[in-house]
Amino acid sequence: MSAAPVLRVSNLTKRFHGVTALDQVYLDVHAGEIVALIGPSGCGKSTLLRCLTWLEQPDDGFIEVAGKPLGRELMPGGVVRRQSRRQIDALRPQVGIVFQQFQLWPHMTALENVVRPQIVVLGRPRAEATRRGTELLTRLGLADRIDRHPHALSGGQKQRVAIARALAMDPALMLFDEPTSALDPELVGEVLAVLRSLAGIGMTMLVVTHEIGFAASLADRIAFMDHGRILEEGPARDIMAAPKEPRLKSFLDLVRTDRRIARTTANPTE
Amino acid sequence: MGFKLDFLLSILPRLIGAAAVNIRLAAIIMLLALALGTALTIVRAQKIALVNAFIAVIISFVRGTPLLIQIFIAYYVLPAIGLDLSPEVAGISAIAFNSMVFVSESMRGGLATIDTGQIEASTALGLPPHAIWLKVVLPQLFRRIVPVLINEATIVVKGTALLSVITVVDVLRTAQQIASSSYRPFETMVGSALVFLVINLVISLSGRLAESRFAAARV
Repeated sequence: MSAAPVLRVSNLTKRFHGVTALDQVYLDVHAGEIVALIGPSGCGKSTLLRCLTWLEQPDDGFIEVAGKPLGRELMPGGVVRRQSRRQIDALRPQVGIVFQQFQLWPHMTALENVVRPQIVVLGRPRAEATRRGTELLTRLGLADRIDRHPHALSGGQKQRVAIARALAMDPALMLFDEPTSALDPELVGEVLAVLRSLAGIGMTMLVVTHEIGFAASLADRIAFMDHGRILEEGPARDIMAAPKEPRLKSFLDLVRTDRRIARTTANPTE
Repeated sequence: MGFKLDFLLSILPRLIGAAAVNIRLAAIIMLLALALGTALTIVRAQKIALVNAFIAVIISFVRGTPLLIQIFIAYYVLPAIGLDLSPEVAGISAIAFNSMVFVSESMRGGLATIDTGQIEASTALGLPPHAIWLKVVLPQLFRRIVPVLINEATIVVKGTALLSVITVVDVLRTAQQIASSSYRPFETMVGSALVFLVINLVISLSGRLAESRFAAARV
């Protein structure tokens, strides 16, 4: 049983008005694994994450979370059955997602942001939800910020509240959409530390990023996506050191050159 | 015939007494308008083409015709189709229906300013649609449209004066009765205007108080 992946994506296809955004995507993420999804912008990374939370409905293919089909299931006899909103909502807490812009609720305090969904979705008593929320926020270093509203938090703090909000639902899998892009560059190390601490408690994660260095230092495996397809995937070290796919090679070259340029522009003396 | 302050003062207690009618009606109308306007907004947000087309026709009727005519329709025309309403009920219905449309229109405007990302985040957490409305969208929406609602409340209060023409004994009708028995329209009209002014000043001030509170919470 331990071999069953936490996330199994098979043949996932999504078209927008005839344009193929996801083209037969296959991806397995196993328990405790951190997979980074990299690729040029517009390659379908974010669309994949949106499909995994059923915010976007794929046209074809299947998603399985912790062994259970999400959104659409194959019935005996080869009949595909669409799940109701209620069924999908029941599975959604299993997949935690942290958005690029965090999307906290501005009219609630940090703690309330974490507590409310536990009460509404999981039906937890308020006392228990508050205990869990306080515990998570404290663990993420926000003990002195729990009564603040999102507008009074920094970007990094907002992100951690968003992480706590998703973790409080006890997800089997956490998705991160560009966790470094809305933050100042010097905070990248901080995000890395937070995600590593989640890995330390055995959380399974799929991280979409275009920061190659970030992906390389965080992920166990890297999947490279282009034109809606996963072209190459493998252990992070192999992908970085010896990419096979020509498009991945040129993507890595391009990103590395960009970073050199950025560094030399920032420090002309270097 | 000059202005006599002591006559004005002598009729004020009667006018203030009648103001209870206007305040009661306005309160009922505002509550109805808020509830119906919210419901209408939620229905419109479902984006069902046929339903929204029908609602658009109703909205253009309400916006494009005078409130007084709408009140007359509720009182004089509805009985023809079997809805025989008392003056107060007819008046409440007409103004609440009118106000519902304006509440819904301003809510629709406010809705556009709420980041869809928040709604997606709520959906991804597994919140069912009704919970997203109740816990996420509406609390923010109401705070944002407080200034518009306050404005609407003052319009409703003034609108209740129109009900005097369908025999509701409110401030204006009381004033008219005093004027026709005392032949002193000047003081009575000034008196009734003052009563409305005071009610609306109280509403505006409490609105500003609420606004500054929400501004302090910055939501």
